[in-house]
Amino acid sequence: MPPWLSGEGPDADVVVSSRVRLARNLAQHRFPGRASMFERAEVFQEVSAAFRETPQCSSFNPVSFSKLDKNEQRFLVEERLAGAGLENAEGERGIILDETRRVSVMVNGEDHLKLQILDAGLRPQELWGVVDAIDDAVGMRLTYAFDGRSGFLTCRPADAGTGLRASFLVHLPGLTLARSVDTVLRGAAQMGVSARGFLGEHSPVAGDLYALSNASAMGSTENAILDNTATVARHIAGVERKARQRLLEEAHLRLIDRIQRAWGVLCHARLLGVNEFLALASDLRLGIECNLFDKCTRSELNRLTLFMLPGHLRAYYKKTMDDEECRAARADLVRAFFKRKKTGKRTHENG
Amino acid sequence: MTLCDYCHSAPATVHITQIAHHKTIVSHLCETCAREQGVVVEVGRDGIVPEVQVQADAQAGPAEKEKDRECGFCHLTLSEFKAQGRLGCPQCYKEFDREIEALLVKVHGSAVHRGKGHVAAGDAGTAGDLTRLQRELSEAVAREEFELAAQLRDGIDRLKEDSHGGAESTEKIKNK
Repeated sequence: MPPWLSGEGPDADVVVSSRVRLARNLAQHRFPGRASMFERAEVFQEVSAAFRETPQCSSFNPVSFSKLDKNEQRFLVEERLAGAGLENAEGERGIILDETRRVSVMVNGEDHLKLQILDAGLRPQELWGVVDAIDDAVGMRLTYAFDGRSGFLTCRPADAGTGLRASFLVHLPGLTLARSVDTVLRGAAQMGVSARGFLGEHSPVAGDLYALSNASAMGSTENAILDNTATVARHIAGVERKARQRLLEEAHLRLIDRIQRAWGVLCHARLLGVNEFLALASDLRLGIECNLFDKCTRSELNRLTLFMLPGHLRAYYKKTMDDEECRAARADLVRAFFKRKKTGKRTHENG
Repeated sequence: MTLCDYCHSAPATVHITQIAHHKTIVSHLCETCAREQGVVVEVGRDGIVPEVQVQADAQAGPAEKEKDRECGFCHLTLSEFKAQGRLGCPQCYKEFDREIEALLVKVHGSAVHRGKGHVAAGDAGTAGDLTRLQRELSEAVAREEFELAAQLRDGIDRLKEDSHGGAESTEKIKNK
């Protein structure tokens, strides 16, 4: 299980995870969308060799993403080790993973390299320190596309400059129930922080989960961009906590009722869609944070959520399933999970 | 011999130069088609039909399609870039620099990189120092400590003279 699911780290009651990503390209090659298959294979070899020769990355494992089947690709996207950009690109693509599954490098998505670190809680400077050091070390063995004025050159000019995307996954059920989420996110946008659904650029918002990230990668230093985005995320976490506190004070019984109803449906439903599960799990997660629900921990709920996603569900049951079968299988898995919790039996590592 | 642009059969004897939207368009017509297009042609005493220069107003005349620029390395055209929002290779940044700069200013409010630098593979001896100095330069500029930034810039230039004599990092302070 990737570490970002642990439910630990600073501000983990609101901030589920932090991710820092750097986009890089090699100077003498066309960007992947314009490159031939041969050129893409060359880029993957060059990048893999650079990682192998870098002492702190020698244990990283390069895998041909394009040789994985669609479900295996989806599995990695759901674990957030690969982005939807890598899944949707064509031709030779690779992924290089470290043994802790904190660091992943996507090769030949939209850009030649996207270097990413992902962990639980709000910890921007720690993650930046790791990925910056890797970038410097690997960058000594590669010639990145860079010029002094535009910085690191990327396929989309909007990503050029630092090539940095810092994002924080936050859970905002209190603000949602108070109907203040839109106002808060509009304020964040004015501070240069954009919000989107947690499964990537084009995914809808679900489960009251929002990925907050810097809107611009150019015109400031990396530290300034990180600090600004983290400060906004921290501020939003504070506002969310106040909203939860107000709910507890002013709508205590209604809150408990909502949480218990969600638990009831999850324990008894026979068909469950992903979005419905996420909405119900959001209520349980709020219950955990408000000390009103103790049937599972934050990290257990995170792991269960992962197995609700289609790629993980199909991998767990080891078979392809159509939509209705997925909904039935999802409901079965959830009922089995809560039944084990009720009887006090140990949950399996895979939920 | 040039044939008429309109009927493509008679030889062109009337040559019209039109200037519209700051562009020059030359048309070659035979006498018949020129009259049909309303061009008044006076044949000189020696029988030679003169070139007719027509100054078109903003609305008149067919505008020739603007030549689509193309990147010399990946052959991405400007119209392809405008349609899909993606570039084809690092060289595109030089070829389409005006358009990209306008886009960067629109999206980011700035088209100037202030973050860390990069030393290409092969400059291994001074790589660590250069990267560190470039980062410190960016941070000094951001804090408006220009005296420190100037010292760092001099240090970077000295290091680069020792390796390959470039001075790209000085762009950062010049652009402030």
